[in-house]
Amino acid sequence: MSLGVSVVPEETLKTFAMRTIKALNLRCVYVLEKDNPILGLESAIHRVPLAAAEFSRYKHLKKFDHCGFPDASNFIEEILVDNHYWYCFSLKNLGYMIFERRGKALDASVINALVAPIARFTQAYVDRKQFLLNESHRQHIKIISDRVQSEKYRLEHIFRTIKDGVLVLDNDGQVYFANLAAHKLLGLEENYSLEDHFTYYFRILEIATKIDLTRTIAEFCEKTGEWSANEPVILKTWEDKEVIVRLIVKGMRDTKGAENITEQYFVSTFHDISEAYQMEQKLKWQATHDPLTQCLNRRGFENELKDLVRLTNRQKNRALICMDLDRFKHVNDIGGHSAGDALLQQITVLMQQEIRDTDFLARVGGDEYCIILNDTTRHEAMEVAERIRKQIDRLRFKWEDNMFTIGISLGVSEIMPNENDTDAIFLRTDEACMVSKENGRNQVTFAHIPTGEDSDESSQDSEWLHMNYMNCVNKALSEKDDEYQIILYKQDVCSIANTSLPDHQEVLIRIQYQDRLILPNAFLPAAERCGKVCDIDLWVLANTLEYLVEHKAIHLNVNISGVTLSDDASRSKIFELICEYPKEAQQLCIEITETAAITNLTKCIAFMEKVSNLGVSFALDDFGTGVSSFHYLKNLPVKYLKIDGSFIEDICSNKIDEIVVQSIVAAARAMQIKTVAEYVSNEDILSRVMDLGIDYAQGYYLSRPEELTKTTNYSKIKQMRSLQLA
Amino acid sequence: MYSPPKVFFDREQQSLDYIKAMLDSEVQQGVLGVTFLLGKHYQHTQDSLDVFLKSLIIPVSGAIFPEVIYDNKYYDDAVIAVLWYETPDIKTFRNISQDDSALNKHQSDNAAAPASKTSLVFMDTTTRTSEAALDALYYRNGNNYQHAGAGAGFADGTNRACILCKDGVVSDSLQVTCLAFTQKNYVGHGWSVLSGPHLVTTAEENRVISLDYQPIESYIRERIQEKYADDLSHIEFQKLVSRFPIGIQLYDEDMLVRDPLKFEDGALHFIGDIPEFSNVYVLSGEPETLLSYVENNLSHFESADADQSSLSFIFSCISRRFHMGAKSDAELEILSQSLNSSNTIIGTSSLGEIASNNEGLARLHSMSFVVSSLSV
Repeated sequence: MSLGVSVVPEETLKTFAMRTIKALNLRCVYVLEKDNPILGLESAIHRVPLAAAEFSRYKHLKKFDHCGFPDASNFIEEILVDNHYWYCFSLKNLGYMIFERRGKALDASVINALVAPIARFTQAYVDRKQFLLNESHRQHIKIISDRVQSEKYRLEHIFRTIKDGVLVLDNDGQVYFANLAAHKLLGLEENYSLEDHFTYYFRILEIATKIDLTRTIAEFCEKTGEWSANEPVILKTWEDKEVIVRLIVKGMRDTKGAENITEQYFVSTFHDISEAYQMEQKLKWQATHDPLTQCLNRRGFENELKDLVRLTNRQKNRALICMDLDRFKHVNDIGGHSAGDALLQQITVLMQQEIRDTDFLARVGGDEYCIILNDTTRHEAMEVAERIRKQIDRLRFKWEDNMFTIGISLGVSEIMPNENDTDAIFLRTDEACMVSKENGRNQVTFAHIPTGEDSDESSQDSEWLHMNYMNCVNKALSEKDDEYQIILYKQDVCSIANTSLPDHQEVLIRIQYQDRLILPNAFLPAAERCGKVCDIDLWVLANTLEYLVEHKAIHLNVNISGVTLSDDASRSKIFELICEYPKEAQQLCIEITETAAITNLTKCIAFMEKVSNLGVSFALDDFGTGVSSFHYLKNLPVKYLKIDGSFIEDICSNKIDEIVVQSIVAAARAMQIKTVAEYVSNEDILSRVMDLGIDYAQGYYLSRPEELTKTTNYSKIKQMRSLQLA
Repeated sequence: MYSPPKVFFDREQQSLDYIKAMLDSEVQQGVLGVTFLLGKHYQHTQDSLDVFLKSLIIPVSGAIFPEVIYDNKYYDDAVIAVLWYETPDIKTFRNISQDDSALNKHQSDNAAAPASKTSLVFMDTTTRTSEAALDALYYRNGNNYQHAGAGAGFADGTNRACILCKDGVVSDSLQVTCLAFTQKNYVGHGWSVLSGPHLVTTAEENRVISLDYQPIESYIRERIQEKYADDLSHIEFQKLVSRFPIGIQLYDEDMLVRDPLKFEDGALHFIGDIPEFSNVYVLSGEPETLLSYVENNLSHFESADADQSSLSFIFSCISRRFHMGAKSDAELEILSQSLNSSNTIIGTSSLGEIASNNEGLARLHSMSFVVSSLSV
């Protein structure tokens, strides 16, 4: 009997059963298939024909339901029930086959002859089932494999399209995978096969120091399984090309094979930030550097100074030098800003030549510079300062047809290892610079810091030098604090002209702290920096007007800074204040000081004319060196012109100064403006300024500043006049 | 008790319109279904037959045969209409040679017609899978039905459509008309063994290539020649074997005769399958001996409950008729007389005969005749 084998096992069963039925004149065939997942067999009862009765109907066959897997294909038994013959065969590894025949039994020879084809059928059926199971597994594996392959292609495509370089390294550091961006990053062709240890292709350097971090990172990853840092690093390729990257390394474990061998991989992601980093560095540089001179600006200087005092392990001393150019405004006025800029660039170069690479040079204001000297002594700092002073002093700056000479005033301060108040350090040094200016400019002053072993007085000096002047101004202006008090002084401005002119007195300001007086040169820069100069000016004006209420016979000059006059609110307050004292306004003269330029000349002129109508007169202070210029003189409605003391103090020995003063006096006379000579410190100067026709004189020779209650000494002027008349 | 069917015969009118008019009238009288046995030369075209069949409002079944049997005679230009007074359950399975045929959808028809235990089966036997189609029928329904029927067709070497149904005339089809009658079937042939048994060593479906590991042509020719003194070598093989059918000896059953249709490419083609590794015989039978077989076995065809029988079908193989010649008409005469005289006897000459064996399995016979009696 042929089997009629089909690719579908159930079709084979049907064909075999039908052929058996037809050959042996059977009623039906049952095949009990037992569950055997290994062979792909599922528990089922097949019946041919389909219309045959349910197998469960036959109680005498029930036992086959519970029989296990036969280990051979064989005839088991013949069962006779109600003239129906049942022939039961075991099917190796499959189950049982049962024939039903009606009326007549099969011959024994036929039964025996059936065993072989039934065994062949069983084998064919089981083989086919197993093949289909394997095929199903193979299809399943293929589907999974296709999915994995598809996923791999997808991931590879993603890896290829992302801009970050991705390198996967195995536990030995061999490159396992590199995407296109990684190839580009490493300067390799797209199809180059990276098979060697990763250090053949690149190394990792620290960005600030360029120290090789490769080994450190590798060891860290071995320990913790990952590595990342806030700071970017340098990827140095095999071609020595350096790329700034953000590097993240993440460990990845992969379990393989039946033995579950776990392999460690490291996924390294390189995000190229070279452009962004350079831009960031550029912005940082721009934020902390002066574009004109390329050295640090005020912010950069403050950062460096703060960083310096923050260092915990400071064994060696450092020093700060504050510098203020002398007569720089003169260059600006004459040569314009282009000249000033060129001069600043030359001066910067000169200064840089005198310091080391480890030191910091900063331009902190228009003509103000600072130097932080690292790892230095007081003596070395003074030497650097002196060398700079000399270099600047020797400088002859030529601009178009003009030749300029300038000077520089310097203050030097040591920064002690235990110091951490950067404001105190700066103000102390700045004050030393101011002292240099007051003492005649173009010189170096050291801000001494006494040690704890000094005397009590020295201890007080130490405290003095460490004073925070901003705090000082704030407390002096506060009515609640009596520790700091603003005290008004006056100094005579004496009429030295032959014609009868009313004498004046200039109101000066001091801050009293304990039994010491703080001079304006110390606290006014701080007041300007913290925006308190307007408040100070208004305080002085209010107290002066109040003083005049009780003293009708005198004229008082009050200093108002250009900063105050440039401020709309302050101008309004000044006007309102003066309006409250209409009589006293006749005795008031406002000196416009030179500390800052007047930003809106038109508004200022309008204000001055309005106040002039109340009887107040105006003087232009520090004429010749500061921001005061002939342009101001021409436009501002001033009655007095105070010639800067720097032209007066050497007038007896410096012919240039004399000529300048003569020119100023001539111009003032042409505009019917009275002139005032400052810094009249001896008899010769007084005589000289009188000869030049100056209308007023002011200086230590005539009177020293004293509190507002003291009286003026006019005897010296009277004596000089009589001498000149004689 | 069911009403017996009514048989309508036409040879004179040769008009489908006439048949239609008759049917319409009968439908008024309570006819609920009709089965046509159409002689191939009855006046019709495929188009006119399609129109006719589609116009019918009652269930219709039937087929075209080389001849129809009516009143003890064969007619190739007549039509027989069997009018049923119970609604027949008719299933026509199309494209039976295709795997996706509805016949091969393994679904039992049990639930569809539990009361109908008898069926007439008409099948287009020009297809190679005719035996497989009968197997499929059994696979679906088991022994719940008793089948009798015939292979339809024109017996002229063409494969024209020959099964009649509501959709028209269709080919490659098997039709089952289930009826609420009891059925008794008898198969006879009269062939005797010439040689054998022989083992079928190479075969596929209805084609046999070798017997006893020998090419079938030379092997059979030798076996026949052994039995005859005359030299038969000059006779064409296909013509020779048409007189010597093959018999399959089934276990515990009568010999199943297979008629050789043609010899082509070394393979002998039969109506019905010959399974590989089965034992077969070369059969022989002279017209006289075949007729004698019928005369000597009349008692086999006489129904025990012949009185209750109202309609008998005779399906006689067309090849057997060719082989028997005039003796075939005598065979029909003898068969008809053996059946009850009050019984209506109709039938066809056929291309293969179908009858269930005692287990309900529909067997495809050839060179044989099937007598099927329906009883109410």
